[in-house]
Amino acid sequence: MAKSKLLTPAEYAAREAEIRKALTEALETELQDCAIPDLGSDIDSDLWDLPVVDSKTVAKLSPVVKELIGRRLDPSWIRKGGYESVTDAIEDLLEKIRTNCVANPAAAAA
Amino acid sequence: MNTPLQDGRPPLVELAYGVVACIGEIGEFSNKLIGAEIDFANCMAVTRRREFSAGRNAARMALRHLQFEECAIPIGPHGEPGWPPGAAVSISHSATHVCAIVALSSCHQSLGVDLDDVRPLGDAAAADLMTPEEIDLVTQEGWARDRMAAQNLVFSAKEAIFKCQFPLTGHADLDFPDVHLARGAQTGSLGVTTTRLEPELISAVGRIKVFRDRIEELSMTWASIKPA
Repeated sequence: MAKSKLLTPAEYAAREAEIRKALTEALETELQDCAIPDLGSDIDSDLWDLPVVDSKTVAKLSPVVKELIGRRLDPSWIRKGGYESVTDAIEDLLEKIRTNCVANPAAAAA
Repeated sequence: MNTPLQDGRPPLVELAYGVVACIGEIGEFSNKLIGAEIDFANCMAVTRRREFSAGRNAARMALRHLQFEECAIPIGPHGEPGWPPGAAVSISHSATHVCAIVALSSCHQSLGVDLDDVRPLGDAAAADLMTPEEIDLVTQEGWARDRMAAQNLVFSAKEAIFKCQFPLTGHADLDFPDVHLARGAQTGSLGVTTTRLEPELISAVGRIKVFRDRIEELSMTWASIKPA
């Protein structure tokens, strides 16, 4: 099977905001399926909290990742034990995408 | 077959081979935290703190049944809990429930547990995380009635395996494609193989047995490594 083409640093930079927004929306949609009332709190409070992001929720983003960058989510990118927040999960995923799917700037310039 | 160990809530149940499980809704457990747990939980968001304290208290209830004194359960560098000497313990959360399983380490060198929260994993995600053979295996064992349930169960089993092997190997990087469920040597459990080459992983993973239990309406898989 042919290896997926890497994004150039410029291509990634141009698309990072779009990728971040799409992954965040997809993740929040997944979490809404299993959101629970904040125990003992006023549900209209600003302290409303989404549940911690578990590894299964991130695994379900694979089709979204494929649509965005042309390759599936690699299981090794998923942090075992989950994430403390949506932001934590998204930033970790973006770091994995930058590391694995974006060409090294030096190699890209050569 | 599970054996209830007490009346009342939350349920305390004896699973196979002397493993004790405490499982219930997060709201059924005390908020109480002890010692180092308090400092660690101070930076947590409200619902994460609630889940954290429920897990700690579920573990303490099960440990008390095995005659362990109440104690703080600190956090290790990888987020792993520090269990009292002589105990093998594992905790799992879903959005609404928590489960802790406990055994004497003289009987189980390590344990891992995962609650199946029943959210469909989906065929696309499952394709990267498990093989069709594993899905067929859990169905043949009678652990799942359909493909969706089987996908969830294989995912859950691998999460339990990751937790179970970590205290012995230190490998936090074990991945879904690195381990495979296999037919067990005895009825009622499955074995595990690994494609990794590290000797400590081959040794630990090769000794893992995976079990599946239902307590009330909750499905869980758990993994055990017996003492060498």
